[in-house]
Amino acid sequence: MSKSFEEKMRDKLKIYEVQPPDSVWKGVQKGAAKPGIFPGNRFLSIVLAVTALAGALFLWSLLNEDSASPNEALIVDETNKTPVDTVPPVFNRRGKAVFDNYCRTCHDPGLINDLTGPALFGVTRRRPMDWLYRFTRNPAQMIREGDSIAVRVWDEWKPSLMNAFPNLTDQELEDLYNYIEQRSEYISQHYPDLHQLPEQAELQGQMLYQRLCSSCHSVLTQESNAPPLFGITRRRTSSYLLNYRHPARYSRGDTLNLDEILQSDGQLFFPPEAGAIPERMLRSIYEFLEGETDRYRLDLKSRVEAGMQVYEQLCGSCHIPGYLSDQERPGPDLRSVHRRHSRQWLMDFTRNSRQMPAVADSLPPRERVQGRPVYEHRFEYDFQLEMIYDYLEWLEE
Amino acid sequence: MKHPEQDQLLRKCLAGKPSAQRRFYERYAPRLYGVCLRYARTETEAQDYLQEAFIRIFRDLNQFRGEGSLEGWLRRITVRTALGALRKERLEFPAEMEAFFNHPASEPTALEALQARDIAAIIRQLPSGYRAVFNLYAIEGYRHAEIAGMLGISEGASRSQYARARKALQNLLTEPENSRRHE
Repeated sequence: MSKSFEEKMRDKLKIYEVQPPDSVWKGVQKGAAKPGIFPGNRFLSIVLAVTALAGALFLWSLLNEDSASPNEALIVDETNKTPVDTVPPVFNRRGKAVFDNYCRTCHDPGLINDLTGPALFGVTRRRPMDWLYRFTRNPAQMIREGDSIAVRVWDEWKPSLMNAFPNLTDQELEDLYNYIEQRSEYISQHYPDLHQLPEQAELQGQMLYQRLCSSCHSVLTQESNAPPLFGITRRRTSSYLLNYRHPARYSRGDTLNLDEILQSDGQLFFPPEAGAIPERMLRSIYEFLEGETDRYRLDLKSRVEAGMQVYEQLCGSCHIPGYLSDQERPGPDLRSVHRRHSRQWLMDFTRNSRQMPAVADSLPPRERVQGRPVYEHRFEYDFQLEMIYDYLEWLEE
Repeated sequence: MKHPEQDQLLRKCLAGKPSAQRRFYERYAPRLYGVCLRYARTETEAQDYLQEAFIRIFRDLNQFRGEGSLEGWLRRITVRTALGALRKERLEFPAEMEAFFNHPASEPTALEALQARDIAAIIRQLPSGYRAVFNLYAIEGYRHAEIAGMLGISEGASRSQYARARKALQNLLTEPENSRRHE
């Protein structure tokens, strides 16, 4: 047997040693001792300096669960440049003036820390412009009117409520948000390890989700020990999500460090415990989950596929899937059921009916009461039922 | 642990002894530079990766638990550093790959006849995405599911991009027993 291409390549390259030039060692010495001033390539110097400094601060934050965000020191204020920042960024001056006059007392001028008011980093990517204008001019009114985002912000920040600024002109608001956008982009470009704009955060979130969460959780379906994460960012406030501790582990007082968690590739319990995962990583995971939720919500094809998957798991053992009608199953064919009943009726029936019986023995214990099935747990999540009904409707068409 | 010498070196590094750090660097730098030379596009880039990797290594050395081999741990950090840098510039998977080789017209060479150095130089010419996928799968031995997570692409994409990278390399590195030349 001859070796495969991969084996040959591996044999050739496994022990591939080259003496690096001395300049590398000098860079390492400098970088390890004093982040901030590197010789050579300026862009890389910035990246390296930030990585090293962020790393040091990051370790610090591991030790101090509740440490203040390290970002402040790193953000380049025009008045206080770090040595590596030789090209001063050009931001919208009028916008900055508006910010300094009205916003600065409550919002972090570096945009990335939550102070009295939330960090405004990337806010122009997260919210539509007209929403921002209306909210800035009268936040209380938007909450009263029940605007869903405004209400969520309120839930998270109450009892503090932002002042209304009804007198700001369109021009002033345009400048202001233009300034925030420019500054966010600048931060995102120059300090990528610290902060990323939403789409990058989502990508990073996907990576982290796959490493840390996906071995127990799935987005759509219940796994043996873990709930589905679809819409979790809508069902819970972000402070709840960021501070959640797995009860079992937390009570034992175990502490984990990030490296152990990462190396276990998700085999350890719910990871945010003991504050081992830094907040920005958690945020990016939730960012990703929010994106997934939207994807299933808005894209019909994803929805139908999701519905099929959920149907298979929850209904498929008793009811014939629409496209395999020659198989014998105990339950009736569900294909036209949505024509005969409203969704609300179907949901109630699915959860409470005692007419879906018979196979109680095969159900897990918590779905049985005195030998009879109870379906509330199985059909706990509205979104799953909605997806199933979407799928059934789609089958009909 | 069966490496008393390595243990001692580690302890001294952790205590911050400059001479020990220097020895540590000299001992592992050549091998890790070899890793960087496969991921970077140029030697200068590889040196930047190596420098950053070592800064991280010295920073995180206290997190090494002595479970598993030290070299494996060092390699993982180096690979992660290189991937971070590659991802910052976006991974590229251009459709027309052959154009990226400097000498597409040259005769394919037998893999057996090449030095590691030459092979690394050829890998460096691959577009960044293919380079990363090829290194991770063929050399580092990760599975496609893991690679997908590391690069933020789907598992299927990892599989198919790997197949294309492999084919492109095989065109340049013909193996003697199945030399299939297009003439």
